Amino acid sequence: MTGVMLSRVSAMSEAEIDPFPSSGSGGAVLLSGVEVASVLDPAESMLPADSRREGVGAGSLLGPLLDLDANWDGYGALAPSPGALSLAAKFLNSARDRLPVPDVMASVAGGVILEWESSDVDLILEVGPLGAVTAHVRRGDLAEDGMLAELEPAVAEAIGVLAALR
Amino acid sequence: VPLPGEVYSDDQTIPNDELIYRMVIPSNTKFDGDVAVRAQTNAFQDRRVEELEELGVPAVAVSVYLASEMVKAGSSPAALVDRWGSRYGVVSLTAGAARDAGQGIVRWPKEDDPAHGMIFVLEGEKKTNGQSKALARSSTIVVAPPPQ
Repeated sequence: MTGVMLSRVSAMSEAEIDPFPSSGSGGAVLLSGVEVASVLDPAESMLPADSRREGVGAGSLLGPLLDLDANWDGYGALAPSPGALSLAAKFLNSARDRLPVPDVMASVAGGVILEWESSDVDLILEVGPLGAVTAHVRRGDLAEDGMLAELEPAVAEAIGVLAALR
Repeated sequence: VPLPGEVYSDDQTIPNDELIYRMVIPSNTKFDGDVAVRAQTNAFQDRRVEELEELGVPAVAVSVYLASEMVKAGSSPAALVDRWGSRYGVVSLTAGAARDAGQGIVRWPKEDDPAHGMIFVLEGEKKTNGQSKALARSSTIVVAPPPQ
């Protein structure tokens, strides 16, 4: 089953698919305070080659989402777009050795949600169907929601805290 | 696009201890092993603006069932699952928990769903993921969906 999922992720990421036919807006993220990577840049959203060999990485986390058709929730949700899946896979592979494994779920708008939860920090990154990335960050009683580019310092800080928990 | 808080009004006749039900499936339910724990964030995201005309509602919201209205109609969470299908489960939260997350609750009965209501965001265009997460976090499982 995992092999099937991974092959679907791989097939999904091949060059014949334009992941973001319309414009999207990604951004750079400081991962664990180690490097700045443009991992959520839709223009660079092709799945990294190493993920296709990774049995417990992005492929297995995103695999269940590949089975979702339109109206998967019974309330009219869209199936995750190939572009959102590809970009989420790229981020998951980039973060694989740095962050705890997130909860991964489809958004109702055809995107992908990556969610980390701890007593100190909550972080939600939602990759929209066209590549726009929104973020939710909670540290203690302070919570912020907005586009990733607007919240990048808070996201980077949250990622640093989460990395220390790994 | 109309803002939910401008077209819906929080119904103060719905008390804070009113139970609100939401249908879930495994893909929007948090599991601990095979045990369903609560809803996930994506179970409480607003519908898309593009669907409003088809839905016949003036602004985005999340569809729910009001427990007291279900009792009046002789229905139950188990009956909801019978109607929706075996892959569904039911979570509940209180109206007060929804209000604590910046939401209002409105009765929106349908011809075949007298207990139907909606949770809508009081400020802004739609729920933030922080608000959806807060709603999910306050939910409890009433009827567990089957494990994935």
